[in-house]
Amino acid sequence: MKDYQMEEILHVLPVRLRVSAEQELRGNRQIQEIRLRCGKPVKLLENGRERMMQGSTVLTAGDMQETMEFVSRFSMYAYEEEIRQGFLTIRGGHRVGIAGKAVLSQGQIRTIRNISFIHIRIACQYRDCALGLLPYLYENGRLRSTLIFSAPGQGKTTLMRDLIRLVSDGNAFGLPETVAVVDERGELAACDQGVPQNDLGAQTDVLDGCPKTLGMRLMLRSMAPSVLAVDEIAEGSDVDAVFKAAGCGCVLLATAHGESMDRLLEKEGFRRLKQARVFDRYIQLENEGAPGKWSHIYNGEGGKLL
Amino acid sequence: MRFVGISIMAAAVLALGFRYSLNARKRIRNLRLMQTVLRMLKGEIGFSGRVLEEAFDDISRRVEEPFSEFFAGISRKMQNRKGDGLAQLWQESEDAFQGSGLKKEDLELFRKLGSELGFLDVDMQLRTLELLEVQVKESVEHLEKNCEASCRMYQSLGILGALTVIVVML
Repeated sequence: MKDYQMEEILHVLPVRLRVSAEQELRGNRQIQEIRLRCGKPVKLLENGRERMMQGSTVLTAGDMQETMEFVSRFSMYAYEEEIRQGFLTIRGGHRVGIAGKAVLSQGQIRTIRNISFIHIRIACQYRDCALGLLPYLYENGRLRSTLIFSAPGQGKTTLMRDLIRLVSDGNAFGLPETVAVVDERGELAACDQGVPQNDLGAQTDVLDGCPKTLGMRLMLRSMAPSVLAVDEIAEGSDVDAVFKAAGCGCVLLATAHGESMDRLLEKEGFRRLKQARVFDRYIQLENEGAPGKWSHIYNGEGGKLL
Repeated sequence: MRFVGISIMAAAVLALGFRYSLNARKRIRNLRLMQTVLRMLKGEIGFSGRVLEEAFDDISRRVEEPFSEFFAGISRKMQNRKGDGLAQLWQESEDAFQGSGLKKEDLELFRKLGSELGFLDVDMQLRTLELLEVQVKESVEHLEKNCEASCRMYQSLGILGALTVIVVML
């Protein structure tokens, strides 16, 4: 974790916990998550195990409110949609999940109030973590459309971030390419006032905070990319948008939730994508200590390459 | 020596009258500027959906003093994120209004924004801004109606005061 990324986390924590948190976080790359629960002390997820943060006392409702004020930069109104969805992304690309009392209107979540559970997933940029993947993704110097999938928290976004950088800057297997990133949740580029805080390469254009269905069409029209990258496509409109983008002739890089190839293909949209050979490579991740570690690589027909 | 002393005192009283008159005009000018700022904030929040910190920074570049100084200061303090709430940062930045002609009641009206902005949804922000805009508009209308008379009164009092000083001291 870079210094500025750690600063961003410290700045959203309640003031009284910042000293203890700094002692825990500074220089420690093993901490993956921070969990704040009202009435409980702060917990850290380190190497897959949850433990109490040193020096943490029981969190009060005031601490949770203070944290939300810092997370939303005193502007809860600007995150209405994100709060409805239950998570928002702060500077540095860290994702903050929230839970509390859901307020419903006509069967839909209007907002979440009395936020008592906050979950901060720490974003890290692991440079070159996708390097070993490149020989499988290029054919005759041409990048193949790729879908990275795994269960949550296995490093899909981390791997995708580095892959975008390597494709954009060029590498031993291919020349630099123009990459358009539709960063709906702001986790890939971690833009601050439109400027990416993470290194996504010299030839990358980023559309920040835009839904994928709208953003993919917009970027194809406006930026004429040779590669289009999106994070976490889901069933329904996302898959339809991927179909449309694939028809425009650019290479697609995407991530999706799915523990295994079989589980992924249980979803109708992904079955359709496979049948249409939209993706030429499927990368399955398995977290074995290192972020973005892949366990299987499949070709477009589902045959194992690795 | 005596005449010099009397002249200085008379000039001071005269200047005081004109200063009050100038402040009355400055107050109206800055209340009008406050209306502009409120309109800008409505656009930044309602149309652009920007967070306050960015909206304040942007507004600080587009308006004149004292609001430019005020919004630059509060945006800077918000970026530092030392842990203070918005209402406190707002109050700390009010130094920018010294010598602006704005009275305590104007600043209290404006300060309400600091404690009400940020919470709930966009509609709530817009309603808060609209309400304040109406209150500021009423103040401006009232002051403008009485401005000429007030200014004339302050200037006349200044002249009268200066003459009184001369007569009494001689």
